[in-house]
Amino acid sequence: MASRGEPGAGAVTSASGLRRLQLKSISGCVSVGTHGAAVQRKAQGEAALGGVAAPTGGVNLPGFIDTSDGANLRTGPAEAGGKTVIDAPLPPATRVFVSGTHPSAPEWWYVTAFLPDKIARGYVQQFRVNTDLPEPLAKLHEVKSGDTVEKLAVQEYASSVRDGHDLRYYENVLLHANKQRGRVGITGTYQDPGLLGGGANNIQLVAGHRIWLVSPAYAHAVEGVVPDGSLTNGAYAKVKRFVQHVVDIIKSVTQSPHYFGEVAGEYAQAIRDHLPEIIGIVAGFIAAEAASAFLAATPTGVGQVAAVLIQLALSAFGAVGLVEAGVEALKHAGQWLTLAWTAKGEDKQVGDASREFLRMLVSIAMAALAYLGVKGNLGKAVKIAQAMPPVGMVPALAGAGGRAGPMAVAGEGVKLGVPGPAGPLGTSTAMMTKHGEGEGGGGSDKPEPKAAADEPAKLDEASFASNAKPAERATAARVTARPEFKGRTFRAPPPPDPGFDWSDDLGRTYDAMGDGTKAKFLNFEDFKESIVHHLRKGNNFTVIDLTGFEPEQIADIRAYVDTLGNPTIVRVGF
Amino acid sequence: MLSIRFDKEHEWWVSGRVFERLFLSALEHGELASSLEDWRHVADANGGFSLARLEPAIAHDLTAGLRAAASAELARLGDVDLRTEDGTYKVSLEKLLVITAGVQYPTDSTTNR
Repeated sequence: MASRGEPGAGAVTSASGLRRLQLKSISGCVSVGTHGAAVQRKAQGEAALGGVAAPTGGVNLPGFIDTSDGANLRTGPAEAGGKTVIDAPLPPATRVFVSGTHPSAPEWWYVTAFLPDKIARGYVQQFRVNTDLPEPLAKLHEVKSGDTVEKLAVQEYASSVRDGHDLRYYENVLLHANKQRGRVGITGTYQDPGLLGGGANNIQLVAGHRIWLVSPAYAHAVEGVVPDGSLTNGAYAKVKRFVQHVVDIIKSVTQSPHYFGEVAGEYAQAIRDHLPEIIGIVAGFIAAEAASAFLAATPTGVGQVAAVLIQLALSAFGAVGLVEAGVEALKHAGQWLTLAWTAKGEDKQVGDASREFLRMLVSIAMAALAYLGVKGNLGKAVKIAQAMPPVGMVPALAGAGGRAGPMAVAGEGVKLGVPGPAGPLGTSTAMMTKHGEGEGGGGSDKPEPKAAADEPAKLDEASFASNAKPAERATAARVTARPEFKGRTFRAPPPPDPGFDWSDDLGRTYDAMGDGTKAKFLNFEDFKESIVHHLRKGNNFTVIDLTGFEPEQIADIRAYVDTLGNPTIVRVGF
Repeated sequence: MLSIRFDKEHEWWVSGRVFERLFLSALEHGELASSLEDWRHVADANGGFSLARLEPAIAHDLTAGLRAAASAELARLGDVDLRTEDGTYKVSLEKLLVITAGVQYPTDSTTNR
């Protein structure tokens, strides 16, 4: 069987080497994805997940399909008449996230499966899923005829190669990781990492078998272990630290139902209806992409990871067309990820992170409900999916082939259809501000000054005084004069740092660059490169402020910006 | 936000306030030589900068100095509320240390395979 689960299929390698998921649609088999599926969901009242029986929770593990004939994805156990959810079995090496078991047949696991072009959910036989990963970011790869270990090392680790650490080191890491797990798809003996350009090809792959591909971060962590194969205490500690961050983030998601009563309030039912798929999607995404973005320190920040996750959660609510979840959702997402990232396994902090995760979902639910025009039904546990826009109106969450940058998913999600000042998000944002909590950092406990629709934009001065540098405040003040931002209120975010300089009352984010008071330090190449990197971050607007720069400097930069033709750039001073 | 690019794969997104605070601390405590002070302004002017474009020795000194200052600041900060300015400072410094842990600047012309 041809493997569709191997790296490269369904994922696009970005300019910086990170893969990104293509989420062209969420499977219509369950609660989201097509209008028809949503109707089906209502008709089968007892089935909480659109024809798929609600699972019993308690597993919550990332895994991969690890049988040569794949795994059928069903609405329930085959022996109880469960129907297949998709036409073909999930291919070997498909990434899944296991959320629970079937209520009457625990040998059937409820999984969220990440296919190249969609996400699907349903039940598979437990023995077909391998959750014993060598590390949380490892992925399973089915060896094809013609694969070589060198080719895989180039594909996975080329960007990590550095002096004294050539590709042979990573080939040895692959051998080591798979020997430890008893995988038979890779055989041979360690290569000499110091031997350049030659030497015997000691490591062979066996087509038709599956092997683990560990992440570059993990490979670095086992430095000193490979090739001799013995884990020293120091190396073990490094590996443990590395793994802990990821474990804590996933745990903060999977344990969030414990805090449901105290956080979710009137939106509890709407969220509860969608929680299994939200947990599956979010945890799976973290395992697949987001954590590696953190760990590899690629061009992103908490804000960008949060933006992707908010889009994924929106898709679970059936509101993938909603491109803004507002400042509140971003704030809670940032706090959730920051708390989880720094928890070091401490249960109390993981619990705090779980609460923030739920608060993020509340904000998203409010935005989704407002967007779908169903807030009047809140008291009756709104069925959000029923109000989904027709398929043709639902933009693909990603499918942004060719776009540079590892978080292009976030970029697409956030930027698509940015609403105008009088856009439909006014309602949702107004609702969201009701859920604001006290925050540290100042400037956020008081009601925000609100500009009238026909007045120039305003700054929430208290927030800028507390949270921005004078040059950033000056740039924001210059943007207030722009007619396209009439009626908006700009606010600098309090800690933790969400990855942008300020946002407006529609939830749009702004990242600024350029400080003309330091014009003599301009370096054209650095400036150009910084523009590209800022654009990749996926904020709604990148503000380039050339106020105070020399005329010839401005001319050079203007000429460059002209070539980009990017509508998300806000030009100031040129 | 500033984009501090240590090499092709290691980029640190940091707020202007955090970068300034760390940089000034590094200068004050001698982790960075005063001759490197201009790089703070270069970052502000350009929205960040790429160390890969610098002479390896300078890139090394900048990276090592910022790392040393970050470690010292973290020790000084201890446990802080992550939702405060000190908290966001701490998180940013921890990220810097993670990001730059594997960064090396070549000192010879050894070629990778």
